[in-house]
Amino acid sequence: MNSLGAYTRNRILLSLFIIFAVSVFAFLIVHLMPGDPVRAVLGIEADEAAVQKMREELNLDKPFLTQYWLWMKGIFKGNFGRSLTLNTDVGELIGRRLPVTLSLTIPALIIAAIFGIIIGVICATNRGSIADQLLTVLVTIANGVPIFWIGIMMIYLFGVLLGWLPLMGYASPFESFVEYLRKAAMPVSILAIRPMAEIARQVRTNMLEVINQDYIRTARAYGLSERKVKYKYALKNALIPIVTLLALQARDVAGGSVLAEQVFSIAGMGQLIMISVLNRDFPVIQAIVLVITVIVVFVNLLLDISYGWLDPRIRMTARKVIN
Amino acid sequence: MTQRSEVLLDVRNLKVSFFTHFGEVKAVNDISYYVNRGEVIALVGESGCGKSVSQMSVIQLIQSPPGRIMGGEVIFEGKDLLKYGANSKEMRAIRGKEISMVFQEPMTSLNPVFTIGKQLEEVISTHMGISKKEAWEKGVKALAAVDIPDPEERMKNYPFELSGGMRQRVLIAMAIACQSKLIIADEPTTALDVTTQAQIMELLMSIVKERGTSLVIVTHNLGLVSRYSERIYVMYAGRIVESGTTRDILTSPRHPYTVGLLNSVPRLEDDKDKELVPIEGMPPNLIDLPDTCAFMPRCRYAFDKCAGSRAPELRKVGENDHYAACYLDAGEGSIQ
Repeated sequence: MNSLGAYTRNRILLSLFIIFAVSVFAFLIVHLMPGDPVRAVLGIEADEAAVQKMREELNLDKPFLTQYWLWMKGIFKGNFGRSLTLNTDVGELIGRRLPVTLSLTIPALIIAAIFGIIIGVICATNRGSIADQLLTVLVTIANGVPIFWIGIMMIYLFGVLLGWLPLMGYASPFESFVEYLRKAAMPVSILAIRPMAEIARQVRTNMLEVINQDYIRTARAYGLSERKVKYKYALKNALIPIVTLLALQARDVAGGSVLAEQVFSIAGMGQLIMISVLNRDFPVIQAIVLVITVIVVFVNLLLDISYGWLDPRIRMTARKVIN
Repeated sequence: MTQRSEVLLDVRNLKVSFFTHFGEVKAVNDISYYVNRGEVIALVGESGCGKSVSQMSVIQLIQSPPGRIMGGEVIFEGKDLLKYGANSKEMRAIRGKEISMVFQEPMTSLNPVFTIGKQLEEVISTHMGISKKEAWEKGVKALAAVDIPDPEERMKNYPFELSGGMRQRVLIAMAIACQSKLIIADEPTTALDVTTQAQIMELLMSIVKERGTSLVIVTHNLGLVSRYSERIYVMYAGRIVESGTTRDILTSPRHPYTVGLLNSVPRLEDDKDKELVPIEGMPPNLIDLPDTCAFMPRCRYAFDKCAGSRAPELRKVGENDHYAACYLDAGEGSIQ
């Protein structure tokens, strides 16, 4: 009855297909963007011969399918090409910047999940109390106020007025952890705030719904402690939909990092996207799109598999009812 | 009073209200009943008459707010359970151990994300103070006792893998797993199809008879209980309007509501051309109950005394503790 194995295999196959599809779109970006990337780099006045030479170097003179084939072949060898404007190897560029972004987004997601769940559970189990009302208001505000405004307010409060935290910059956690904490505190908080609010809201709603289910009444009718009823029987049911939400939030946090890195002058992937889009640096754009896709698909895959593990109804839909 | 010496559960003057935006709903309005050891009784009435609420109140399972037990006593083995808090350790030790409930909705009464075995084991180990492994084995035995084939395998199944009838068997297994002295079955067969209904009732009966467990069957189906229960309480609008032995209630009902219930149920011995007679009208709104008899507006026998007096109290109308709350004179006996 290895249906979890079959479920996992299907998920992996689907993920591979998605990555392939996105790689095609990423490849096409260069041809969909308005203007000629070579002219954008060399300038409109550039010599026709120089333009032609660069086209050849970038394989732009070859047919579509050949171009795609060469690009993918390079990627499998670890060669993402060279940046048109930064004069660096794209793979190296991403290798340097990806850890920076991950060191902000992963903690943000973890913090959002942990605190979101805790806040949601506190609100649901103390429904109508002052704590619930206060937290509900805060969650609504966090959901409604633009994130960049919260960023500016935080910088003003903690950076300018109180002077507790540096206004910008970044330090690697592997070099100086304390410095990393000081510099990452604000960007990570800003990235975490919305997903946390959203998760808290969902957990609260789910818990309140689950607590009224017949099976919770059964658990109470059979003398299980209120703690067990809430934190074991109800919470597991309430958390299942949160897994899906977490996958969506992972995507949003990745998007939010573009903004956060810009605001705090952090040299991560988000900032790299900004620069390369403005410069029409298509090898970089293509590589970033592909890398981010692979990461998001991978996160989704992990969450899908854990979803199946959490909810037996998902992994065993094919099994027949015993009568 | 007959047989009161063996009383297991004695409910006295129980009152339960729900406080809603529209006012106080007197769901259970001063009811008293008792169950002897090893006895099977039935609580019969339409939906919304308070029969389920009265049973949930026995183990303080009603949601509060909006529900509140307004008064009365629930004496179980000599102790008043209402003296314990709803979430107290004492109350929890009773639930599932001394008094177990089987609910109406087998499809939704088991937790969807835990296996049958896990749920049984949890209840058993909570009450018996034994290891998980021993509890698991007891769970297997309980499943075997309710005639579930391959109990070891079924322990590993999730509720959604079982049919409604199977799930109700699992819930009955849960009810008997800790040797409860009293099982309250709240419409145990309503959600099941007819053939399964009979199987489940027979199973429940054979189990309580074999183990000497007391059973309260809560139902709207007089036909169902006539075969199984020794005594019947008929409830209407939060009150008990008639009580007595099953034979007395079925052969010489004394409250017009009981008569109405009997006439609305088909019976095999009836002439096949006999038409069923529904009870006219709707059950009353429990928020603004009149001081007069609550059944009067629907009663075919109502007379001037009914309109001019307060709701009648239960009074003795026959031998064998036959009681009815009606002003109709005992001597007439013509209400059928």
